[in-house]
Amino acid sequence: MTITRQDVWKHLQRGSPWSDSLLWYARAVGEMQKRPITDKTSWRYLAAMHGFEPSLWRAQGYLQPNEKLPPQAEQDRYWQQCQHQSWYFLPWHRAYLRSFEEIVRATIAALEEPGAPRDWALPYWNYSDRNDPNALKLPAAFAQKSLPDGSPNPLFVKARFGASVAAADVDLTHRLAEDRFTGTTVGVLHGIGGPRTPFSHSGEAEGLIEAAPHDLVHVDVGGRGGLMSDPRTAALDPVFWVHHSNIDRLWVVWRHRKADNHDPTDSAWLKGPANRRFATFDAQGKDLPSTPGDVLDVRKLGYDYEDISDPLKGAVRRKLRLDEFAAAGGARIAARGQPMAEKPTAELLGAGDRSVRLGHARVSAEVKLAAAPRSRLSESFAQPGDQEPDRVFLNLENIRGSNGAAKFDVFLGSKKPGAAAPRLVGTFSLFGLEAASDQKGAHGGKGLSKVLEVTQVVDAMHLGHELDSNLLEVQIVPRSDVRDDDGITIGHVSLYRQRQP
Amino acid sequence: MRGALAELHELVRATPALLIISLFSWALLAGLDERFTIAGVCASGTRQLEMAARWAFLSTYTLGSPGRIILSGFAMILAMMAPLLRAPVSHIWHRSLAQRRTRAMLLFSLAYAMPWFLALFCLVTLAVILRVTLSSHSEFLLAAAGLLALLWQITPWKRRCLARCHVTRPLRAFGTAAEVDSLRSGLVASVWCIGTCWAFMLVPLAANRAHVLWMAAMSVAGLIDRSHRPR
Repeated sequence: MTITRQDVWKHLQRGSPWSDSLLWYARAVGEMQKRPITDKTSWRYLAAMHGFEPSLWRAQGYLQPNEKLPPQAEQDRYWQQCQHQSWYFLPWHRAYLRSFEEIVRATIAALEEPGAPRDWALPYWNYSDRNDPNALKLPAAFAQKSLPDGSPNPLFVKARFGASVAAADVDLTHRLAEDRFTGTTVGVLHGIGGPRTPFSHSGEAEGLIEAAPHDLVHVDVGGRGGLMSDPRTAALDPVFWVHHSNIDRLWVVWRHRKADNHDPTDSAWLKGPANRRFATFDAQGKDLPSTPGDVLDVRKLGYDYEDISDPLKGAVRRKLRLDEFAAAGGARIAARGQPMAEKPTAELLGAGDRSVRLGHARVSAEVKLAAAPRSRLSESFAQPGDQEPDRVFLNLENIRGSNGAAKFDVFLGSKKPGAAAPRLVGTFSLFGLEAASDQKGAHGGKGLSKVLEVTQVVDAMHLGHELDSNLLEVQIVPRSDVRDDDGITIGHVSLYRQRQP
Repeated sequence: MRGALAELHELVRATPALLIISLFSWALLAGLDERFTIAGVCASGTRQLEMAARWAFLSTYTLGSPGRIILSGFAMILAMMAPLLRAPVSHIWHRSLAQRRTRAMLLFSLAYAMPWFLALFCLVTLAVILRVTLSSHSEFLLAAAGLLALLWQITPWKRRCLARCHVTRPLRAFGTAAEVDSLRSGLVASVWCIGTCWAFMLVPLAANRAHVLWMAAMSVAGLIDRSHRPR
């Protein structure tokens, strides 16, 4: 039997924030929240599989002092597995959601209430749906303090401070248009799926879908101090699961939107991670260990999605970029049929010479371009034939601090006299910052790193002859509640050019 | 073990030069007369020390050819540590301007090797002291070193060292600052690497014979250790 995961906004009862699916979800969540944390099918056990930090859980009221936990060996096997900043991000979360969905479905069946569905499926929140005026709003059922019968609503969470997400944060244009799943080159994008890593609970840079909408929705919904804003508490919030259902759907959408969008075929991914499997289990607690290769086909896993249509209507990254370049006055570069097999190569183009401290106000950092790579970048705009000019990426390395809900806009401009004002290149969030900054933790305190594509802005600067200067300016502007005493610093700012095949 | 094989696979794929350097160093160690390897001196030297002056162990280092001993120390560090340096080496290479990469690598390597030489000196000294102290129980020494290596594995200090081993640091791109950062990266990586691996290094130094085999066994242990990222 194949069950269908449905859009959470599309099946509401008339005039109500509730759909049948959400009502059953709420009842099951309530039941699972009653179970002890040592029960593998309990709400908290499942949340701890994503992340767990006793002091945070106690502070939020999800763990009592001296409460009995599963044995350490069991915790080591099942808890704190979430894969972020890794090419396992998408498949690990798929395996995790499958396990969760099965447990919720079994819980609904065990309620033995009239009309309980046997084919309940986890809904998804498609915040990127431009045809639905509600799409950006938190699904209203999650904000209700009570169920229609007046009992407390288990989907309601006090420590959730966002009521909607920003449209720019969930724009998929430059996300799904990417044609690579992963990447191994330092300084440039790591495809839609993330960098090649071992089993990693503590990475640095991330894939395109993870950076946005994933990270940005987490912090938009969670807000400062919210459960969703920290990977160690995020899965305690019931909205986490409908968010990740959509992230999983985006992987399916990407895979189907172009015939040559492929998942990795490398056995290190398909049969990985090398030293362990994704440790999940079924509704009876029986182990269901899996690898990425086991979770590639959602229909084989027993579900599909109501809508996997392509929001970009077939647009591809190269054509999007070259059309915009031509529209801005640049040369029209011919389209290319099949992508080249050759891998793009990258090199450091320039860098700042000091760390940058972020706070409540706009800050600027200077980036100096090195002469030789700057010259190669300029030459790439004058290549004959259908050769695409270099792509350029801004790297913000070793970001540390204490506010994972922080979100910033980034602008890039030239320091050449008379140059245009710095242009917006994108937004980044610091989801996971606290754990990444902890020197005693798995990250070793190396912090997070962000890679933002600045190609379009560099194209505009090239056309405006602003790249004649070897000094660029990066401006970083807070877009959420960021305070000076959050102690957020960027260790290093750098730019990379990537020669295109 | 699968983790170690995966680490090797990544080494071949991403930084084959490190594997070649390591293999070359293993060949050198295997070709050296064991009496003149740093571990061999540690074993044979102390036998002579027992007859002469028990605590004058420092003269151990001059018993063989000093040049060969330094060479063997260098080869030991390269053979055992090079396969573990994929992340920092890749970081130095890719985060440096293309025209500075070779210089950055040399500075990193120099700064990485120096603390290890110091650590090796300390470890040999420790092995000599233990050997002199336990002269009539030389097999016990190897067992004690093995036990110490195992115990070190489960301490929080070891876990912290391993986590810090994986940390990459900002590298400034231009001028003297770039050279300073390459040196500092090598030094810092070396210190956390020593914290992670010193006990593994002590085992071959404590062995009476077959030092190269013990080194190889400890290298495999180091690879397995590295593949289990701290959580």
